[in-house]
Amino acid sequence: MVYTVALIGNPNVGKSVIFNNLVPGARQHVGNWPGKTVEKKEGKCVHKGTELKIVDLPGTYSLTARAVDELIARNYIVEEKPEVVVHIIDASNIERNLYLTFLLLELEANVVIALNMFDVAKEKGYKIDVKKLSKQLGVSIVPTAATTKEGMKELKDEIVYAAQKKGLVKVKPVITYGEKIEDLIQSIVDIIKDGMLAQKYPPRWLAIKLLEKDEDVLEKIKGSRYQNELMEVIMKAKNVLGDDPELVLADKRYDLISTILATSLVRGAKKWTLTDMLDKVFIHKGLGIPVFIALFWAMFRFAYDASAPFMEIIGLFFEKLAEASAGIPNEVLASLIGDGIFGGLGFILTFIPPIFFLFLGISILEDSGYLARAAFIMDRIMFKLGLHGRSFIPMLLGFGCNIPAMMATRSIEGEKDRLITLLVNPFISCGARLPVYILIAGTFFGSMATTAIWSMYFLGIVVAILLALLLRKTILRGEPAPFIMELPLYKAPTFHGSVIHMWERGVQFLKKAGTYLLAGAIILWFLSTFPWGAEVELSYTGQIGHALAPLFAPLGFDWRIVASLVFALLAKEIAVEALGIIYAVEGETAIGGALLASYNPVIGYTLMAFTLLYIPCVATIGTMKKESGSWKWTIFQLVLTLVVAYVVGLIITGIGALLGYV
Amino acid sequence: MGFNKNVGKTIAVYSFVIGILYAIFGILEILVGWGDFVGTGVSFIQPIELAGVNVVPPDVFGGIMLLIIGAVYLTGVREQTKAEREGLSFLLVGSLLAAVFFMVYLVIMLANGVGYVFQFEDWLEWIWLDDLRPGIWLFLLALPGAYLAFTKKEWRE
Repeated sequence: MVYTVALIGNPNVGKSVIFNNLVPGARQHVGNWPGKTVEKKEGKCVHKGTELKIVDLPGTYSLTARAVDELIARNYIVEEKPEVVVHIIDASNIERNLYLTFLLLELEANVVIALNMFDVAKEKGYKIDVKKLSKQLGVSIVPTAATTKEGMKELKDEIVYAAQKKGLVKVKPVITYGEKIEDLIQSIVDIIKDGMLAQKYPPRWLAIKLLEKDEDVLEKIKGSRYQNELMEVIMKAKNVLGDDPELVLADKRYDLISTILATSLVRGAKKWTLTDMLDKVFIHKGLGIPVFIALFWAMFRFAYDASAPFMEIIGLFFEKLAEASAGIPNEVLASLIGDGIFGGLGFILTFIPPIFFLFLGISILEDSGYLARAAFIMDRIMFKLGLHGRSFIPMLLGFGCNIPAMMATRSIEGEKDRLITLLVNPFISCGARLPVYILIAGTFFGSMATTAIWSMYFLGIVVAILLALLLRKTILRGEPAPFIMELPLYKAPTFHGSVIHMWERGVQFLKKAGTYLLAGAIILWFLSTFPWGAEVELSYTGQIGHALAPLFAPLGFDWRIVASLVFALLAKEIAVEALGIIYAVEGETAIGGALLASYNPVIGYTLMAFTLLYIPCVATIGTMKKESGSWKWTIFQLVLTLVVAYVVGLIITGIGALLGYV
Repeated sequence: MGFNKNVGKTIAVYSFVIGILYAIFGILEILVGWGDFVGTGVSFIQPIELAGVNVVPPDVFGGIMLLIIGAVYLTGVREQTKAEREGLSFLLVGSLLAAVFFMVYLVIMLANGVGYVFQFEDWLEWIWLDDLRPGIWLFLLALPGAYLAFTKKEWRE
């Protein structure tokens, strides 16, 4: 028999590390910030001859129906009924973490607690009486330190034991909420106990959720024969308790946690840790944002300047290959390989070093725990603007790729907050835009290239925040939901870990190069060389570019740029690939020089900004449709991005004209 | 020895000197690079050379980053003078930022060295002294502070 084991816990307590420890060969992304796991992940392991299916659920603080990731976690436990639920608790923050334990016990789940980060708790001076705590909660507790794999064997032993004993012993509620609440719970249980719902879900849990007016459970009782009777009890609950039952229950849970911990936890004198020291400056009111700006600037400087000679090496390699292909007797084949594959795809591949270097920088910042601070300091600004602070985490994830960033919005409570974050996410500059920035900034801005690239990332953030504000004040009015963000401990990033994370992100670009970009290069070459023998300007690409060029003339874009932007709808890197092919077919080898001869720095900067802001790639559009579940909002996003890109382009062109660039 | 008044004052003087040095060189980089930044080519001061080596590169944004590092060091001086352990945070983070920029500039220097070894067109006239920026050698002065901030655990008690 295969036992199903669900891993659950607050964000950033080490669930993914424990999952990787339990499942042989698992390499789930482990990052030092909350909200990485937005979908459940599965793996298998065998322990003492027992096969276990391990399911890693998204991090969650509670089990309400407000955020998508919370609902995923809750539905899995309620609907799938795993044999064991391993609740991973941050031992150094046990009080807040135990809240979720209470919710799991209400669900009558077969809980085993992994008291993780036990080493960190010890360092903080915590003394936890594990045996006493286990007895008070009525569940097994295993102290663990996932990063050093301490306690993993014991945890597996306990999981197997708990799985095998399930059903043999009836789980009794060890937590009670006082006479008044218990009476209300009992009244509801009495009403529903013979119904269909009580066969499927624990009646006590249903009763508590109904008292809390849980939307999902209220939906389940709609139309049932006892709906009216239940609503009467739910309505009178507020009068009986003197406050909102949800708040009363939350208070009760925290009271119980305090009572339990009073006897099983001894906190030593609070030590001033390295994390406290670093946070004093990293989240400092005055210095937090300048330090954030400095660190990001250093990252872009590293990505751009340190990669330059390596780009040259790859560029020369493809140049030699293109030269060699000129010897192919068949003229069409020679052009396809020389201009299309080596001139187009080869050109885009020269951007591998800066892309990987940027991802290395992001990985180091993420692994160290700094990115969570960046979200925290930006939250101050966003909160003042009436926006949801949690939105900034998906925005930061967008620096890698907008798709996982949009998926990360599932952790945002409140449909409007989530929709706003989804709508503005494509404005955050992903890795795919980087080749465009490097080509243009390197050509037009010389020693200021790093700053020009860096400015794009800030332009993206500023536009995203302003647009979010505009949406909040107009079509998506409302107050942001309250946001509590837990800051993880700082950790020294390891070379091995950061390189793996860089590879995980960078390999997406390589996969794209072998599929989309290769296909794009062949299509682009065909459209740029046919009708065969015609000038590029008269080719199909030229015709597409010329047809749309008048629309973009106010931005200074000619047919070449317009054509490259049209093809870049498939993937943003294709803009560079397209320019490479157009100029290669025209016989230009030094694209930078050709660009310099055709355009001025203002057009270059406008092109960078337009590439950043206009319609996202097809994969992102697909993700928007999936995450929003609406074509209306997907189309709205397409129009919004195009309009914003055009308006920002006009503003840059206008400023350029004032400075004398016409 | 714990973080007492004497240690605090010594650390404060040290942070003040390092902070001022970062700030001065940051301002110099901005003033030298201003002409390139605004496109006029006319800066407030001319490039500063020592024995033919450009010791202050024209780099407005690089200068701003040095100013930020300087500001971090200087913000902690008051608390350090009062022997408040919170003041050590500024020495620690200032040193950390200085180290980040030192590493970045050093890696760029090494990468340029690769370009030179391969004799690529843009690197034909490159010499390593071109990349010896204030962000590199100022860190050598900041190194003792960084070492103390990270290793003196008793100061945090």
